[in-house]
Amino acid sequence: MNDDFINKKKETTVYDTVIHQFNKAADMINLEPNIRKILARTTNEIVVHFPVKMDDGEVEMFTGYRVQHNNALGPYKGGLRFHPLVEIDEVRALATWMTWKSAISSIPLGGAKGGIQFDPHKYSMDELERITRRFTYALGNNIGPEYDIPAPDVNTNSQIMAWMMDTYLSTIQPHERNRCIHVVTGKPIESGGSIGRDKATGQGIVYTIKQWAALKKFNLKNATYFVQGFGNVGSWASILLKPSGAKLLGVQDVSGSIYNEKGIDANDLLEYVKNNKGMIKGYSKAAPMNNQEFLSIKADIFIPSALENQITKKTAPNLKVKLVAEGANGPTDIEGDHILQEKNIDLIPDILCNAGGVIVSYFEWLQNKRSEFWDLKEVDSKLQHIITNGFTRVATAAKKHKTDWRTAAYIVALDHLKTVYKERGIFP
Amino acid sequence: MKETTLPDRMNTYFNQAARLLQLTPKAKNIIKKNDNEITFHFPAIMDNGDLIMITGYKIQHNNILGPYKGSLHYLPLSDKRIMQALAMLKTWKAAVMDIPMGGSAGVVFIDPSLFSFAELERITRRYIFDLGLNIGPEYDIVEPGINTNSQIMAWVHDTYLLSFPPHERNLYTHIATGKPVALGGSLGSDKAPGQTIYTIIKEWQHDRGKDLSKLTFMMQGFGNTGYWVSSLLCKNGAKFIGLEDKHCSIFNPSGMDPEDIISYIQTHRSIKGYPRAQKIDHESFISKKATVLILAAAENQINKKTVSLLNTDLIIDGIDNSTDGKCSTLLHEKGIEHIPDIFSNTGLEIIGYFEWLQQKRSEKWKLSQVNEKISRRVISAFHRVKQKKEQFNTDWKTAAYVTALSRIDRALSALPLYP
Repeated sequence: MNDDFINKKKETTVYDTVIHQFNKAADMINLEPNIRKILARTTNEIVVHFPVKMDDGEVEMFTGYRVQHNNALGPYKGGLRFHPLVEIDEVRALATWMTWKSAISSIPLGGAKGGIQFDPHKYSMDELERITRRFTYALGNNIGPEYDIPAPDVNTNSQIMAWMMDTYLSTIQPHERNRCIHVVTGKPIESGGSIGRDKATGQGIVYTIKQWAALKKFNLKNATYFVQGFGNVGSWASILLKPSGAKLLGVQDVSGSIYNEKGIDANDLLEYVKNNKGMIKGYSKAAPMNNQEFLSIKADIFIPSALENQITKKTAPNLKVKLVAEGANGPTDIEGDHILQEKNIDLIPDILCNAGGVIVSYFEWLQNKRSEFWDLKEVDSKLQHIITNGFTRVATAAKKHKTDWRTAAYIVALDHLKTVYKERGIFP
Repeated sequence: MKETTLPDRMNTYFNQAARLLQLTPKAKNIIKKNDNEITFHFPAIMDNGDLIMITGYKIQHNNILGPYKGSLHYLPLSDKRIMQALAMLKTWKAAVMDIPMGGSAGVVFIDPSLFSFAELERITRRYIFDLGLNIGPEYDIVEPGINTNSQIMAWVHDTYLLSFPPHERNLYTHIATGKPVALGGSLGSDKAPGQTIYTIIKEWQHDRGKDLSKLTFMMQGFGNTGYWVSSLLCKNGAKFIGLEDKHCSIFNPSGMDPEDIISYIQTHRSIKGYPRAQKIDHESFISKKATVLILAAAENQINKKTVSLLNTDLIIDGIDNSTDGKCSTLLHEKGIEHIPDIFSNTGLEIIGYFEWLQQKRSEKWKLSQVNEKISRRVISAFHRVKQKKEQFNTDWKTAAYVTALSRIDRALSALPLYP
C-alpha cells in the first residue's frame, strides 16, 4: 500500500470512530445512562517503562501498554502488538472492540489490548526475547490466566507467546505453574496452542461470508472477490474461500497490487510470498495494478484485512462490490460507512466478521484450563457454531431495529452487557 | 523570573548528583524513568443516586530498594510530570534515610470538598478495589498525602483486606500507614516530622562543637511540624526568637514559649495580637539574625527575592520544596548552609516505615522506643550525608542527592538486569 492508503495523518482517530459507533447504537436502544458512562471509558490503562539489555551490552528503555476496557463478561482478553506507531489512543480503540467481539459471539471474555512502541525488525531474536520477557515481568499481576489473557497481534507470533508464558509461569510457585498455562493464547501447538488457531480469523470470515450468501440466496460458485492484505488473515481467507468455487481477482499488500481477471490461485500465491520476504510484488501469474485503482475492482466481495481507515470518504465511492467483509479491525471510517450504506453495499462488520481469532483463542484457553486437546474437526465445528449464532443475532437485530449491520452488531453487544450489569449491579 | 517547578528542580539536582557520582548511562536511564503508570476509570454512586465516572492514577517510580510506598492525593487536576516528581521524591527520601522502600504516588482526580463524607468513602473504596493487586503490603504501600488523612487510610486498609479470605486478612494490615492509632497507627506519628528536623539541627550544632543553649531559631509556620520542632528545641535549651504564620510575624529577642503560643492560637486561631512578642513585617522577619531558620509553611519561601535578606547560619526545609533551586549558589556565596527537604522532611517516611514494621511483626512499640529509633536513624543519616558532602566538597542538598543515588546505584550494580 502506498502512503495514501496507510493514511498516517488520520482526520479522526480510531477511538473517535469507536465512540461514534457506540453512541449511535446506545441511542437506538436507549442504553441506561449509568451503564453507558461505564462502557464509554476504559477500565484500566497501564503504561510500563522497562530496561532491556541489548546485544552490545547497552541498556535501552522501552514503553509498553496494556489497556483493559471491560471485564463484566469474563477475564480481559486481547492481542499485543509490537509496532513503532503503537499509542494509547489506538490501543484504547482496539481494547474496546475486543469487548464488543466477545459480547456478540457470546463468549465469556472481556476486552483488552496492548503493545510495545518499537520496530521489532530492528532487533535481533535474542533482543526480542529479552524485550518480551521483560515486558511480561513488568506487567506482573496485571495479566493472568483468569484475569487478562494476551494473544498475538501485529508483529507478534506464537514464539513471542511461548516466551510470555514461560516468563509468567516463572513468577508462579512451581507446583501451580501447570494450571496457569492459559495466561496467553496463540501459543505454538507443542506449548499448549490449539489446532486451527492460525487459520481461525480467516476461517471465521469465510463462515460469515457463507452465512451472508445463504441469507441473501447468493451463489458463491463463480462469485468474485479481492483481498487487501495477505498476511495471516488475508491469505487464509483467500485460501478457505476457494473451495466454495469463488474466484480471487486481486490482492494488495504493502509492496503493491496485483490483478488477474481469470483468477489467482491463493495457495500458489502464498507459496510465492513465503519465498519473497512476505511480499506479493513480482508474482508472475497476475498483472501489477495501480494502487489507486485497486478498490475500484468490480467484484462481488471485498475483504479488507490489513490496516485501519482504508474505506474512507475518498475511497468508498469507487467500490463496485455487493459485500464488504471486514477482516481487519476498523478498516472503514465514519464517512466511509455512510457511503457504503448509501450505495447499498452489504457489510459484515469487523467485530462480527473477524471474531474467529478470539473465538479459537477462547478454545485454546478452555483446552489448557481443562487439560484437553481437541482435533481440528472439533475446533472448526465449534467455531462455526459460535460465529453463526453471532451472525444470526446481528442479522435479527438489524431487521428488528431497521438499521445497518454495524449498528446492529453494537446493539447485540450492548444488549448483552446491559443485561449483565443489571443482574450483577454496580459495586459498591 | 518564574519560579522553577518541582519536576525541573528535581531534574537539575538529579543531573548534578549523577555527574558527581559519574553514574553509568545504564543506571541513569533506569533511575530517571518511572517503572509503572496506571490510569483507570471507575464508577461511584453519589448520595442522590447518580453515577459518576472518576479517574484514578498510580505511578510507581522505582522499587529496587524495597516495596513502593507513596502518598495518596485527592486533587482536581494534575500535571503528570508533577506526579512523577512526587513519586521520585519518595524514592530519594527513602534512600537517604536508609529505609528499604521505593517511591510511588497515587491520585484520585477529584476536588474532595465537593463530595460528602459518605461519597468520599465510596470513592476511596472503589479506588482501592480497582487498584487490585497493583498495591499490596509488600508491593506498594499507601500513606496520606494532599487532602487525605488517617480516616481515608482506615478505608484503604479495610477495603484492601476485604479482598482476601478472612483467615488471611491480618497478614496484610501493613497495606497502609498513617492509620488511626486504634487501627494500628504508630505512636509518635504527630511528633515524627518535627522530631526529625529537631534531631538534624541538634546534630548539626553538636557537629560544629556547640550545644543547643548557644542556638537561636526562627520558625516559619506553626502547624504540627513547626510546633514540635520549637517545643523540642526549647526543652533542650535553644532560644525561640521569631515566628511567622499566614497572618503575621512576631519577634522577641529574649525568647518565646511554644506551649504558651499554642494555647494562644487555640483561642485566637492565629498568632496575631500575641502579647509577649513584638509584631514585625515579613521582610524584617526574614532578615533577623539567628542561628537557624526553619521553613515549615509553604513552597518557594526562599527565592531570588528573599535570599539576599537572610541572616542565619542554617536554613532547613520543613516541607517539600520550600526553597527555590535557583538560590543554591546565592546561599553558598553568603555562607548559609541549607538542609534540603529530601533529608529533613522525612519524618513521615520514617514513622510510616516504623508503622509498617510494627504491623508486619504484630508489635506495638512504646513511645520511648519510637523516639529512640527515630533519633538513631536520623543521626546516622546525618553522618552519611555529611560524609558525601565532604567527599565531594559540595553543599548539603547535592550531598543528599548523592547519598540517595549512590545507594540506588549500588543496588542496581549488585543485580544484573533480568532476564
